[in-house]
Amino acid sequence: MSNGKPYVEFKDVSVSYRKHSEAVAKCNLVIDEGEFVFLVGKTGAGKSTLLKLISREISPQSGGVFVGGKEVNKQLSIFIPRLRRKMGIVPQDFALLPKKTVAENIAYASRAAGKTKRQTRRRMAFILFGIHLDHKMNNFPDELSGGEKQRVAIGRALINDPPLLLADEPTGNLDPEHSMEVMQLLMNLNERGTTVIVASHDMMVIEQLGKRVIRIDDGHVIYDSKYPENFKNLTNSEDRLPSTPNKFIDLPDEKGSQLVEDLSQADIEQEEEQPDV
Amino acid sequence: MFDRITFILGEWLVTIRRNLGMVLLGIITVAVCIFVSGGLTLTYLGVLKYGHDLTDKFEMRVFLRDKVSPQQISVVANQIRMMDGVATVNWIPRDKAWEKLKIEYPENTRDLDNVLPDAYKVVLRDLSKSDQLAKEIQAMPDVQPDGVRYLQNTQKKVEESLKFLKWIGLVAGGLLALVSGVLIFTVVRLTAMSRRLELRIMSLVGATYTTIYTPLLLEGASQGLLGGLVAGLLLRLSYAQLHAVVRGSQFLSDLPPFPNNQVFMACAGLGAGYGLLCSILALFNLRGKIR
Repeated sequence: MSNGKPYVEFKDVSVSYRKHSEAVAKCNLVIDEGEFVFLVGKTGAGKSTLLKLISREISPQSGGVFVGGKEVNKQLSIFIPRLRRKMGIVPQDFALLPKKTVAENIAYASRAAGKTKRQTRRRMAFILFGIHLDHKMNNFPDELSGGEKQRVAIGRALINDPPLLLADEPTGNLDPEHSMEVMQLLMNLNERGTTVIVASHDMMVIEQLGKRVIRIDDGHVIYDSKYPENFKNLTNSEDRLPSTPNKFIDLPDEKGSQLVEDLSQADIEQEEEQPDV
Repeated sequence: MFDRITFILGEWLVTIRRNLGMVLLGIITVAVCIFVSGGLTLTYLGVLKYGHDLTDKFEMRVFLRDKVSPQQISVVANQIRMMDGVATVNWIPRDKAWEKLKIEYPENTRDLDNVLPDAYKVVLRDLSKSDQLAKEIQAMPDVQPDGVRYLQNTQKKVEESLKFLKWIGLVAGGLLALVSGVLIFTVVRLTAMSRRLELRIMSLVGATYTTIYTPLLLEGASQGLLGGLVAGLLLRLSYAQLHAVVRGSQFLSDLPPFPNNQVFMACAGLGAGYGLLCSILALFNLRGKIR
């Protein structure tokens, strides 16, 4: 679904958490609009840091991070909420409110993001259907499986209908079957045109999806499947990942493809966007 | 807009409910703090008013040396009038004073020549300057040695009372303000920590800072406001009690009516402002802790 137009760019970005620990070092990356990208690497390699840079949870010590042509690290902190409304963020730990049902969890986030009750009601029906949890809308998080919880977190990230989705280890706590369920959902969103960036170390899932893979190690980009020629000196075959997509696996749930239409329909019926406060 | 306000107010109620015990404790401490400070302030204002009333009645007598010419009497009077803290200066001619004395004490003044000197009645504007004024007047060449008389002790007692009340007010009020401030700060911090998941979700989905932090700011402000209103009520009740005691006494003059509007508005405003300030301090730099 990529249209070749750069959407997220890292230009010579460096981040250090402490004086001698460089989380990201001179990182240069371009992610196109509508692309599906996996950031892979060991724990502490710098994947989450890259996602946090995009969402302005942290700022780089040097270099620039651009989203939709705007340098996010130069934006005043007062504009961060507006920036976040243009991206969906899916945390690894789901971050669901335990005393609220699935529907209430999504509605709470929607209301907090500035949507009216009416807008929330209308959009929620489509989101619940899209994440295939319309039948569990009145269940509490502790009544859901890990995959279902993660789908709620993804649904919550969609309340602003963002053009960019950031997912930090979305399958980190899930078994393979549920991992694929979640990935299928992300794939469907990507097909709809959403740029999806996923930090993950779930190699099995990544290999099956055959999307662009950027490998990070010790704060450095050491491999990019889109530009393999730039990383010819990478000799360790284990560090390489397939640059050609594997056959996409069949998923048990066929509702996925329907999601694209459902959410598109939701867009049409959605109220005018709330003005930024 | 209305929808936004209802959401924020709903969140505010949730924050209050989350730490209800601590919130009540905060309200009580703020109430005690404002009650003590307010009580001391009212007492201070009462003593200050007494001091001013005393000043109005308070006159200093300045006795001149013998044989001072009328021109000189006028010059000295003008010099005293120019002094800081002096309200009025009136000349008391020795003959008039003697006639008055003869009427008041006919037995003691019979067959005596006028022994009184010319004098001034000096009314002060500022009681605290009486000592300084007395010194300056005493130093004038036409004034008798020890020719300045005034109620030095009464004035000093009033001064000391005011100073004592000021210190007590500052120390007790300051300490209580500190305790209630720490309590509001802690309650707001605890609430923020207990709601950090909600705050994180709000932050993730791009809720504005107004939406995220207003309920917490309102929590502190409402604690202060309620504490202030309770303190106002306590002051009102205490004053009513004092009023009843004073009315029953033969020796004390009646108290003025309790300034209801001013006291309630001052207490509520002070409490709300202080609560808001403590909340702002509590939320300062909190953003980095809730991610």
